[in-house]
Amino acid sequence: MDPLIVTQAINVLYAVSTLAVLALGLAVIFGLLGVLNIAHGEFIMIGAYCAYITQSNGWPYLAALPLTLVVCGALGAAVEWTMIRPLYRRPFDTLVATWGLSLLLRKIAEAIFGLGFRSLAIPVPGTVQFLGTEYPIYRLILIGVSAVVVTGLVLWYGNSRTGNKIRAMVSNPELAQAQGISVRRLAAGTFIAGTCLAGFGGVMVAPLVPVQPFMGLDYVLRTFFVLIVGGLGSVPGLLSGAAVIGGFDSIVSAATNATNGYFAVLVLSILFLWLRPRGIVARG
Amino acid sequence: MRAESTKSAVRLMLEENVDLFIGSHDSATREALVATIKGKVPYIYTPVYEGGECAFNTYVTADTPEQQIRPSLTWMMKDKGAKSIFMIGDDYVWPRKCNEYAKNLISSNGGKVAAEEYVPFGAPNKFEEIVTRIKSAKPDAVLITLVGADNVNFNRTFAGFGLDKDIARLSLLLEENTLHGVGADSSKNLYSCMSYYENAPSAAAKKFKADYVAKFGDKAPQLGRIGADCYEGVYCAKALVSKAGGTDAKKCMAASEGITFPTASGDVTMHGRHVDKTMFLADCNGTEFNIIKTFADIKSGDECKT
Repeated sequence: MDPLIVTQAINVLYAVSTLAVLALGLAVIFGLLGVLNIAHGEFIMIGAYCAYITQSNGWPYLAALPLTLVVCGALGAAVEWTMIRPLYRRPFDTLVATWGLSLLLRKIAEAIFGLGFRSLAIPVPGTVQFLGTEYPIYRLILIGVSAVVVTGLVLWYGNSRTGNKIRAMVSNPELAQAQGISVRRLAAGTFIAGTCLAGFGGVMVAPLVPVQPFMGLDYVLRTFFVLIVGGLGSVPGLLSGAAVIGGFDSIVSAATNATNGYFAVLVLSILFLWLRPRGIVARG
Repeated sequence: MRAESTKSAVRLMLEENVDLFIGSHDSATREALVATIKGKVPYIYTPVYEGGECAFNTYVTADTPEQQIRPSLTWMMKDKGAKSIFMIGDDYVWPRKCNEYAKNLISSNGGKVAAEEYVPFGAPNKFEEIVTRIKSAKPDAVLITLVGADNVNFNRTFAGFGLDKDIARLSLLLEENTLHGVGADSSKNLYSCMSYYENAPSAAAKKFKADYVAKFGDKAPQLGRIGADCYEGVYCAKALVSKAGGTDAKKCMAASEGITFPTASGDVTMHGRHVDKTMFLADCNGTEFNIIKTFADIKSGDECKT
């Protein structure tokens, strides 16, 4: 098969799977807690800088993961306790609060690291022959990792006791509390999981993009579009949103040019907001 | 960025009564500012640009296509034997005008344009699809008019797909900060051509760097064309206003012809409200520039009335 088409097809797969992982944190927080976390991009940025710090210190790249967990977890806990806890189920108030948080986080990153671009060396450099074409190894690894993470999370959510408790909390918090489920702790844990997932996404993409304090802004729009199009509060929603947004962008960009790809994403999002605001997989 | 710049310009003119503007920013912002300032105060534009700015009371020390593109692209085609060129840029005036200029140059040197692509300016662009198209088109060289994060992103993706082995890249706005972002593993076979680099081989540039480090220490911001251009902008302003005896527009316009002022890489003289320059062609060696050719006294190619 024409190697150009095969390569573009892998590009589409790469675009969809990275978008799914990057949107995961937002989906968890927005879908399950009703909190609009506009600072989602900044947690991705923090994950990227954790990866940068890891590499600057000469540690193995995987050491970035526990570092990110600690930093994003601690920050998520602090944010949840001070800012989010009074504002559950009030999406527009959380939007304003997290908007302020995002400004603060960007400026703190700028104060610590400066505005210049940082580049990370790709942990697994080089290309490999895959399906008849040469493709960067690291991107292939990311496709695999994304699939594992999303699948793992889905299985865990569906089958574990904590997953059950979260679903109870989401559908009826008062009743869940009456059943002895500590809703407050569960909600905090869910929020922290969301910020940690965003940080994890940042560690994944850091070697591929310029790392700078404002990089989070590049992800906020796309990940919100994924949730709008796909629908909130469900994994099929997240996946279909990532598939549509990432897929459309990549396919149109591959077939024509990047401007049309971006345009297609914007048009699609507007159409969904207008005609099917609950998204593809509207939760009951 | 444009809207904020024009608002700031209006505020500076009306509230703070500034006497003069020096601008180091993209050409889209320059066009907006020219329309806002309307020649009421002198406006000096300093980085790199696409040529052709002759607005009233506007003075340009920026590198022009005649200075940047002609020497470097001719070298790429004659000395490196590049025949087919793939052009990629951000979608606004500077890349489009530069590519127009480049197309004429390419055809007069017997080459051909493999493709001409633009990405939306200011959008979070990914380059996997474009790099795949370049891979399939197999050009000899890529002419890059991307700026900032897009420039970094494209070059990293390009090298990530392994295209840097066979295809040379010439970027028209690649200075030290962007090169740091691109990184050592993505900068092989990557060239840049501007009027100043931190490592420029002129005696003046060496002295400039020594003075800079002596004054500001080694924690000072990275030296590069974008930054050094502000230095020459200030000295241009001084020379202009001194000769004109003030900031009266007509006097400045007349006085601008023939003023000489220092830049980070040596003295230059203004003709037709533009500046002739010595250009440097640089190869990227890790995250440093390695100057491989010097093109002395290249005319700006722009003659504006005074």
